[in-house]
Amino acid sequence: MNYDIVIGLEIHSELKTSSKIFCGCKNEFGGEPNTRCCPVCLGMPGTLPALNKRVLEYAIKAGLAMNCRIAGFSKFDRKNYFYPDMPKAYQVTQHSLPICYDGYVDIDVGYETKRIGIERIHIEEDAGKLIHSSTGQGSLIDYNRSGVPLIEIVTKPDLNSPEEAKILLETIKTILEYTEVSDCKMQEGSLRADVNLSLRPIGSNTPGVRTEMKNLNSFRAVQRAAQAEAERQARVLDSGQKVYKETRRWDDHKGESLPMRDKEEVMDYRCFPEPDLPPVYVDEDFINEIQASIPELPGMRRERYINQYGIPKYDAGLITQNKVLADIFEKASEVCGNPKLVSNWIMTEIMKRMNEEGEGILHSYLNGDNFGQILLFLDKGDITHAAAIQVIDVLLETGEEPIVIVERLNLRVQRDESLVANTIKQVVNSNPQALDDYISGKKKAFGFFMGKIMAELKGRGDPSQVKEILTKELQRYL
Amino acid sequence: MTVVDVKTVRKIADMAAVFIEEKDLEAYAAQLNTIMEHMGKIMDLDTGDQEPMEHILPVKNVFRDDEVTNKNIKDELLKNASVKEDGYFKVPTVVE
Repeated sequence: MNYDIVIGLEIHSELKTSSKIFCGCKNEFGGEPNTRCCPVCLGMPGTLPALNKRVLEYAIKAGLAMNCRIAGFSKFDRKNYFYPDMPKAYQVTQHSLPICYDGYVDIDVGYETKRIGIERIHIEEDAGKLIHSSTGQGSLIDYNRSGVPLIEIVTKPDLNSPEEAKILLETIKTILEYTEVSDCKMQEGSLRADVNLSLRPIGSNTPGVRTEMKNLNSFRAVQRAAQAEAERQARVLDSGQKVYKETRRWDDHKGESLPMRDKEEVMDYRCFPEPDLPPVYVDEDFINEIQASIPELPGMRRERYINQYGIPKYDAGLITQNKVLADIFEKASEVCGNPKLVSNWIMTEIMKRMNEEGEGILHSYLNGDNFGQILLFLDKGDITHAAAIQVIDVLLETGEEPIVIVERLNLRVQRDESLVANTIKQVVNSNPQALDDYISGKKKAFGFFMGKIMAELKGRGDPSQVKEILTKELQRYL
Repeated sequence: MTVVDVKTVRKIADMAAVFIEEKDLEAYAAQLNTIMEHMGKIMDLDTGDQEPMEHILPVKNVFRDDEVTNKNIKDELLKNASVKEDGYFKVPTVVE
């Protein structure tokens, strides 16, 4: 049978505050175990948590950036469960009254724009980390992550393919980065997603039974897990069996998922209002203040790049996906005055390096200013394409100003006509075989001469000038 | 009116990780029923004009500034652990 795929995501994102959500411990990834903990985040009896105000601000900021309504009144609840990653035996979260609700995010699927509903965004605390003991006996716990502030973004089940799920996660990551509420380092788990998926026979209105796959921490894992789960459910349904409502764990290496908990056992978290934390009231002024601090978001920025700079939609989309890259593009365009050239170089030279070496290059010596200067040299014809690449290489290593590199390596295009003409004469004279070839009609020989001459000029020849003089020179033999 | 049966008591005990002897289940069920009955009286009240109460505290908006005020007190914290290993708290193996 053929089915419609119905997917909703729950996205957890760690907020990049200085301190944890309810105590003054440092909020930072990794480090020596249990060095950033205190009685509050260890859940000792008699301790009193207090909400970090910036957590509230960041959650509202994320909500506004995703077109949510902000609750004037919200509160915290205890979600009870026994697992040693949470020493209090409950997680503080917002169960019944989340801070943000009823929003949406637009995603680009091919040439279409699709609006995905955001059900709610709520604030909660992260749990500690369990690792297995090297002795093979027992589990070890590091509570450094316990009490790190999180927001959970719950989408409506508006996604209809694994690809859409991936694109939505990418889009939300970009929004969180632009609003600077999370660093979204997926490899460190500061952005992770649960995939809720069900199938519905095409044409039917009855929703199918859904499964949940937890803690997927890469775009690829989200897409693959959703694809595999859709196929698995289709096999189950096609064979006349039932899909069970269950939580499954995705194994990215094996490319398959397995049920996590016993099918019979339905988790009952017994949520109730957190008595240690007073409710939260926010007023219009507070919300407006946060609204004013939201920068231009990727979608708006992309449209502006297309209209203001005239660069292709595809290029604009890719460049604006990364805020730092987009900032570099804008500054470089201003310095060099040729946005299309800058865009082309980002799409080729910079993207190539990002693919090979990672995003670190965007936080290195390279910036919009020096990148723009290099491209200005190129645009004015002062250096060649090859030389521009060379300047970028050197700049990444030494951090010198482009002008310094150009002078030191003597990269300026050689335009001295008599010198260029002499070089050409010399090359033509010392390659009689190629000259004969040319005279006998083998036009390939022209390219051979060009290569030799450029090499002789140490790559500093102006190709159009060389071509012009070489053509004249060879004409004499015809 | 019986709302809490032995099966429910067993389930509640499981969720709360409390051990109750089989022979005591009936007694707990009876006591819980008395409590439920008593609380059930609230259903007879006319609460039509009352605002729903979401929280019991009369205070609101108690915040702290986003500042790191705590130091590394790992050794002190680990003193409370009955078992530890390499700077970690140690618990019996948990498999999810």
